[in-house]
Amino acid sequence: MSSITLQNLSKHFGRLRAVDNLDLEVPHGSFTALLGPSGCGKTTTMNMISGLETPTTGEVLFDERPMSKVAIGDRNVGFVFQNYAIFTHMSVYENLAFGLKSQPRRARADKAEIDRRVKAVAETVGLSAALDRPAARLSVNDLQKVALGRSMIMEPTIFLLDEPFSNLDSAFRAYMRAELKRIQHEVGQTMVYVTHDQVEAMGMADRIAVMDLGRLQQYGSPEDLYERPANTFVARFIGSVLNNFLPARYADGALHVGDGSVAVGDRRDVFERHDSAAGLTATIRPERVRVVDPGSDEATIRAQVTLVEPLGPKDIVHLEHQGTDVRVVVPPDRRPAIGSALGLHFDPAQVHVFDDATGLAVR
Amino acid sequence: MARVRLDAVSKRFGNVTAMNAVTLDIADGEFFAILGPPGAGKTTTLRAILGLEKPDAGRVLLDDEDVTELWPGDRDIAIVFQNLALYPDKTVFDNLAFPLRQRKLPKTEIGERVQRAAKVLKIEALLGRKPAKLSGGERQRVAIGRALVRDPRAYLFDEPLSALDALLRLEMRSELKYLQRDLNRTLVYVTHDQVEAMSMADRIAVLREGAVQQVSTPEDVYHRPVNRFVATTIGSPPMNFLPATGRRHNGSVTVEHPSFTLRVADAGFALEDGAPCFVGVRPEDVHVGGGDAAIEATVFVTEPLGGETVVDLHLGDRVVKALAPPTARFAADEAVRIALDPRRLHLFDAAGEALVSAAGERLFELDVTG
Amino acid sequence: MKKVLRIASISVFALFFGFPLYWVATMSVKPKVEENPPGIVVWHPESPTLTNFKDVLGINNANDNPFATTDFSALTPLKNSFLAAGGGTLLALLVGIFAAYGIARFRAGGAQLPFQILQLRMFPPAAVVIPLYFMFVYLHLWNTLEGLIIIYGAITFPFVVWLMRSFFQDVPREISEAAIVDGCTQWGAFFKAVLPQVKGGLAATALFVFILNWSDFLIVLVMTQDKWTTAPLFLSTMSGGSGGQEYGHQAALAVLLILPPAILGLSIQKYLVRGLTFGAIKR
Repeated sequence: MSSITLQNLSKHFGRLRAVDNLDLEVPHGSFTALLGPSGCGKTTTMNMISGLETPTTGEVLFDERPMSKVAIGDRNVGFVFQNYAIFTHMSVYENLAFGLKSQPRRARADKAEIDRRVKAVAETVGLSAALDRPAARLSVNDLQKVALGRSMIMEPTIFLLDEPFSNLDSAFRAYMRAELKRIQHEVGQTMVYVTHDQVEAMGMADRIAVMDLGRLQQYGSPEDLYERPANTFVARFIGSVLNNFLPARYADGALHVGDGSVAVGDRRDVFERHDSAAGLTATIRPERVRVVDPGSDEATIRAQVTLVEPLGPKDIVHLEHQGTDVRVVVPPDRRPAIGSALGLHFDPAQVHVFDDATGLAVR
Repeated sequence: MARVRLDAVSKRFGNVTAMNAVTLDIADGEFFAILGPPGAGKTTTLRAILGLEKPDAGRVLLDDEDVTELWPGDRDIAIVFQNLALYPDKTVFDNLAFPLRQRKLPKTEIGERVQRAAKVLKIEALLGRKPAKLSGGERQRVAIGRALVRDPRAYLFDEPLSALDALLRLEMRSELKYLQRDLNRTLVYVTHDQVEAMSMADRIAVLREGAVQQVSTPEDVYHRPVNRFVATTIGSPPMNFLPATGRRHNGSVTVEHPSFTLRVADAGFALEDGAPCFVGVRPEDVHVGGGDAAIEATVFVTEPLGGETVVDLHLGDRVVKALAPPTARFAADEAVRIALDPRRLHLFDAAGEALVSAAGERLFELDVTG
Repeated sequence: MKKVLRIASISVFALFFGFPLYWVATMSVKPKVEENPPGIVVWHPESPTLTNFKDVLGINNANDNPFATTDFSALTPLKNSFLAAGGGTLLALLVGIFAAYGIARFRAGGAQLPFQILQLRMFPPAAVVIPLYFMFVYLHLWNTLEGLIIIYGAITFPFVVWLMRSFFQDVPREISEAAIVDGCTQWGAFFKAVLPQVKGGLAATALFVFILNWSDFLIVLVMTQDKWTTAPLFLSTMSGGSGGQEYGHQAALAVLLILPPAILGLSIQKYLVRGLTFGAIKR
């Protein structure tokens, strides 16, 4: 396993900056996700780490060692992709053993060693019972495990995964995510996982690098991203329920959000210093908004219910406030009627403020 | 207006049964979702309603009129295909105007209708562009617009959001629901994403390999799934199934699991003594820690999702998922105690059919053993 | 080192293919006296002239040229070439496009039909040209424009099917379905929704077929005489006779013959490559 360092990494395709000056430090043994919408540069970044693409400028280093002169084959990188290339005419055992058997003679392990390693990997991915089964008879879900095992058995320095679970049905995907996380912790391999689905990144990764338009937006733990988003993009992108964005203003020592106001507490001097000529936007997560009686003074704002989305364990209630759609999460047994007015309480600690000109958090 | 009915419609392609005696009764103005994994026959069902696929057996009825033999263009139904099928050589305006020009509507009316649809979908600025110059989300709106201009009696949407990024999907979901409400027309919506079906539909039909499993409101399929397939398809993270054994003596039934026993209040269902069965419990009804937590389990992974944390546990040799508050933190291999909410349990027989679902009632009493 | 080798081999090939073209071009502007002088061949025309071109296009009349014993005007053969090749191309397209759509969209004729059509071109036309001659004489189609058009249409029709089929297959089925749902008939959907998608492929196919027909020699050799002779055949008859070798005039006509296909081919190059490789990939 090794650490990966990206220094000033850029990739240009003509005038298109697919990756723009990326600086990233992936500690060895960590599970890092590259997260972002299509076209954000995550796949290109992964390709540069593996060697499939050469950077326009900048460096990729494994354990401090620059990789620019090292060919893909020599970088010892394991891949797991969506469209796994499994040999359908071979059994699971033979598929797993294939890589080891294909080594040049002098580097090849002996039969006993190969057997031991195949069985160990099968155990790790949960295929011990299926070793003799022909690959053609496997379910899509088991095929994915074989793909994972095939990469693992070669004991690569780092693992690169590009949305490997998008083909799987959603129930199984949930299990594979937990499995993969467990495997990674057990084996301790450095893993880089590319995805556009924040649920996957949040659930599995130790650290997530959020990217948009080729640039790094924020790099941190799932908790960092969720609780302390660095800019409006991260605030919008992270979270299973769409975040709330409300126009805000700082005046007379108070933060005005919508038509209500929120105490600023110890953030006062931050706001005093900040030049908010462009305007401010406040965000608060729907899960953190508390529903109160519209008449009570706990209510930061009042709004009218326009839509209810029942998800099963919870409801997402949409309300309209000064022309903006505001969302709140409520338990199903407290579902409000459409058209009713609700009071919403914003806990000041949960309100994040961003500058409209830069999109950055006001801190 | 537009009651859509399928009466035992079957369709095969070679050896594959795409539709197996599918019967659906969709009310006028209903937002009806057809949910199932890929290959379940959802798209075929939609195409059968439209007439692009001729049923091998069964009838298609629109407002009580048998339209099985009617040409698709004459059914007054609009469809938004999964791959959108916009006319690449035509501008957005011409794409929207095409169906109206085909029906020889007067030019002024065409212009009005196109403008109105463009306004609703917020694509007025794009009218002069060709599809190649639009983003995925914008193309989606144009495809919907082309259906909108026709003001048909029913709309069919085939997985309209599946090609979009997760974030865009979130944004468009509520928009679609608002749209359907404003249009006040029947909408048949095909998807493999249960969150979409749950959040948007008035009723959901769950399809598996061409056969309808259950048709009911979101609450009903969620709290009273008729079999394991439906129970797994709806709800994320998926329901947990704990293998147990049924015991019957003196007319009362108990369910035995290595870690606990369930006493069932009213055993109006058939479960033989010694028969294997499954206890179903959703992750949000598995509570880690807390006052009544008494069942022993081991944590193996936690997935912090921000709004909540998924805790994966080993209960015996099974993996059980639980939902915990976002601040919950557990170490790998940490021993914990969990509680199962007895008012939210389900019982399934060995074949996967639901025997009973508590759905909030006190049907079960749970005693911790083991 | 690799680079030097690469440049060297490309230059050799360029020379090999380019030289004859250069030679023909220079020959076409050489006046009679420079043609084939005794001794070594001179590559560079000393006093280039457009006389040959003018003769071939019938601009000069015979009186200007003291050596003229034959009329070199190739206007009629050129006209015939345009009519026959153009007509044959149109015929092949008309039948082939609809056949291709039927095969691509509705699997007309089953799985075998596409290959059966392709087989029509698997053997060399030379093998069937004699029987065709007898057939056409019997049908009073020999040495007629209609006869030529029919043959050209028939022998290039498989190409149209082969190429257009893959272009039609690239158009998603849903586009024609969307048109049907929007109120078109199958025909309407074809013309208004599908055909516009294959414009590029159609142009490439049309030009490809035109080039094939334009440069045909064997068919006209057997199927025409004097009246409906086309340019390639006329070119071969220009030498011999009392005037002896007429390299200059032949070269001029050759240059004129090369021009339409060359210009058209260059302009649709990218479509052509795409069309050919798509035909090769099984879907």
